[in-house]
Amino acid sequence: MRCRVFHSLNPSLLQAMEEIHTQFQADRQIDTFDFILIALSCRYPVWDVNETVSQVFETDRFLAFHATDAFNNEEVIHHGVTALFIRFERQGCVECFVQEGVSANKLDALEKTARYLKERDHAFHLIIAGHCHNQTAFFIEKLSQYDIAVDNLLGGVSSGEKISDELLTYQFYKGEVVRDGFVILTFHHVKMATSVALGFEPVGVQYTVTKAKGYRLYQVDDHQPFAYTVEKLKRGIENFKPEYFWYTPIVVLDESNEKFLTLRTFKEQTNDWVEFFGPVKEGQKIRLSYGEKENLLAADTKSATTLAAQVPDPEILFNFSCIARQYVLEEMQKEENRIYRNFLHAPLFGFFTFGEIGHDPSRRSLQFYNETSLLMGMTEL
Amino acid sequence: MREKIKKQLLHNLLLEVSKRYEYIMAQNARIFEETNYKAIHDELTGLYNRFYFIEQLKKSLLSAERHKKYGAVLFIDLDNFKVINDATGHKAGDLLLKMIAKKLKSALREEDVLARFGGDEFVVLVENLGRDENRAVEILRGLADKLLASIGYGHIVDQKVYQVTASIGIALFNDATQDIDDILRYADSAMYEAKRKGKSQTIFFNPLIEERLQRRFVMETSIRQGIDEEEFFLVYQPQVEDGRVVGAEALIRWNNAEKGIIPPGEFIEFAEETRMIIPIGEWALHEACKTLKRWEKDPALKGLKLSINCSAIEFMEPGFDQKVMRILTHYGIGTGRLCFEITESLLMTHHASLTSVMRRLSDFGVKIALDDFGTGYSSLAYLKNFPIDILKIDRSFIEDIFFDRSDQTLVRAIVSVAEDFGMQVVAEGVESPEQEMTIHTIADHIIVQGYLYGKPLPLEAFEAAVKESV
Repeated sequence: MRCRVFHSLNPSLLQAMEEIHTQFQADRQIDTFDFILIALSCRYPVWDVNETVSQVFETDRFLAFHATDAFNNEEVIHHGVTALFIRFERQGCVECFVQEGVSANKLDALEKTARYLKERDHAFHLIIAGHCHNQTAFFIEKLSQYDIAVDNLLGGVSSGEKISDELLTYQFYKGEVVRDGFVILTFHHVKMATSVALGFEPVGVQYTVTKAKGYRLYQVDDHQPFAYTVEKLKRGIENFKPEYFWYTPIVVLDESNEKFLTLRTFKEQTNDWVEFFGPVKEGQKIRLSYGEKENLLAADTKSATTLAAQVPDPEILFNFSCIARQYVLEEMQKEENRIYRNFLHAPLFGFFTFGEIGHDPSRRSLQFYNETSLLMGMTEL
Repeated sequence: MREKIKKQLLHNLLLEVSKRYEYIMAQNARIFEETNYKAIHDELTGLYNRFYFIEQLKKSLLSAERHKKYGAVLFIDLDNFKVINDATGHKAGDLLLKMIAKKLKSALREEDVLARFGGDEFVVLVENLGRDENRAVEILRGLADKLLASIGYGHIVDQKVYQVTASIGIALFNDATQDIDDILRYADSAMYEAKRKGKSQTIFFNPLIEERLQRRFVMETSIRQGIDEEEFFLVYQPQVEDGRVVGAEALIRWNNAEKGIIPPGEFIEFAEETRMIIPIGEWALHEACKTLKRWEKDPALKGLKLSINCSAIEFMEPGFDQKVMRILTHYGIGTGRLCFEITESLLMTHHASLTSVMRRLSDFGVKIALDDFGTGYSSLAYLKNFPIDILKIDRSFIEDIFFDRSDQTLVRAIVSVAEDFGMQVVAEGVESPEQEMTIHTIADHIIVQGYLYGKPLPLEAFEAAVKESV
């Protein structure tokens, strides 16, 4: 498999695509492609994406999706277009599965998706999901219950901006604009491995969630709204912004109360509740945590070495890293990918997500993560 | 800028975390306190529990030995609590226990340890009673009287006044080598002795009580084995009317494998105390029914009636009437064939519920005889209030009836009253022709029973004697 990543920051979609096309044509390492994976800013006109890409590259073998900050190797491409060109050299091939209407018709979507995955349980699946009105996390967790293989699926939630009350986290495939769903890109005849980087340190003793609904946490076991606790964290900070809380996600513990299940990033807060970028459930044990960029990068290093032991010579790396992680890493946000590429010498593609989708090895289930970096290395068989 | 925000955020986070620690610590301390309290207190009354009491008793024994001073354990058991509890329900019963706990506490010194061991059983540990045993006993007697008096006042629960009495058993100690279990057992034994002697009193433990309890234990075990090994049997003493055997009184006997024949006077009391009388009585009822069925098949014995003695304990056992009716139905015993002999003591103690049990049995065709009539209170009201069919005149009035005019007057009066109430009369203990002659001078139709007509005999011998007399 040959992979190359190109990008353009041209604010014109057509010109950005043409620039990438030019880069592709000029590249000596790859002259043809089997598939293009495109991360693009939501500021480009939504309804022109499919047509423009088809027109420029004269193909419909592509999947595009919204990503505010995408990765071209170590580079973080902010509000531009980043494209991964894939050419298989042996038995490898790729196919796509599109699911629209996740929040509107969840059961049907679950059954169809589970059937698709079961029929391809030896392949590797890359999932690029939309926000789906906060339903993606529940969908992913429910999907685990359909007796599917869970260790061969990885991805993230597209990132975008809210325009006219709609969060633009779309996918584009074969002329369709997927607004409430996801696309699964299935790779056949490949070998892959994944690893997770966290890096946030839990602080203090645990709380038990006593009232929660969806992504909102109302009350913990000190019998007062958790919003009170959160409110106190704001003291002395002028012009407070919710992003400041991205330094202090909550840690959700597993049933043994010892292992991290996931992190949850603060999104919004009122007097009664605190909303996160993922679900919180009653009975879960949580702890506050704090992250410094050095710790996050140390976790990235550990993740890279873990992956290198499994796939020493990957032909492509995918990184799905949380936007909150990007915020905490600040000016060192490129370091994450630099570390990955230092250990694993391969092109890297990915983006800062609104949530990461992976699996929890100890629970044998799919997991919706926050503030993690999910790294995947792949080679063609 | 970011660094400043991060610093403040971390500061706030740590502050919040430390508050959470404080909250958890306070909560843990509260839980610890609660658990500790629960571990040594009785949940209902708030008094100490057995665990704490025993711990204190251990310390007290050491202290008593060191200072050569007496201490004591007082076992207090309410005499009639079960009756009140059954009649008023557990809620009122619990309320009453709480009130009594409060009264007992107020009657004790601050340093005395008062605990509830469960149910209506309270225990007091008293220390520093001095070195003189007589003086210690004197103090304890005063304390026990005070406790009994404090309990004895009427207690108002749910607008009703309940009169409660208690029995107290006291065990003294002044030696650390004494076993805690022994001291508690001694106090408990003394308390049982107080109950046995009529309740509402205090008894100090002495070795005789223990001996009696030992005997009771041995007897209880033996009775249990006796039932299992079928060592009990019935003997039959004829009851005669106008020279003809009309029935018999079945009397229980025990042929113990080790001790031989044990007279009823030696085991009935123990059997009642231990409630072993219930299985014995049930066995006797089955035997009596079998005998009546056997007699039914023999023309010479067909019309005979049979009386068996029934203890107050059996009579008051819940469901006794249903049990009797079930057994009689099982054997197909006809109306009027079987008679239960009860004593006055039963009528004296359990008036209200007893009447309905007796009425149900009477309606089912079981006769009731009042045994040993004339020796107790002999209240004529019994004759009015209870469905009694037969009066059995006590043998003490028969013994000298030939010589003693006052016995003659009494028997005449009893017969007259019985006739007016439509009851039959049985004269017990008739042993000589003179007694028989005198009785028949007083009353024509009186049933007589005694050695003059035959000693109690095993079934086959009794049957043969009846046939011979015919």
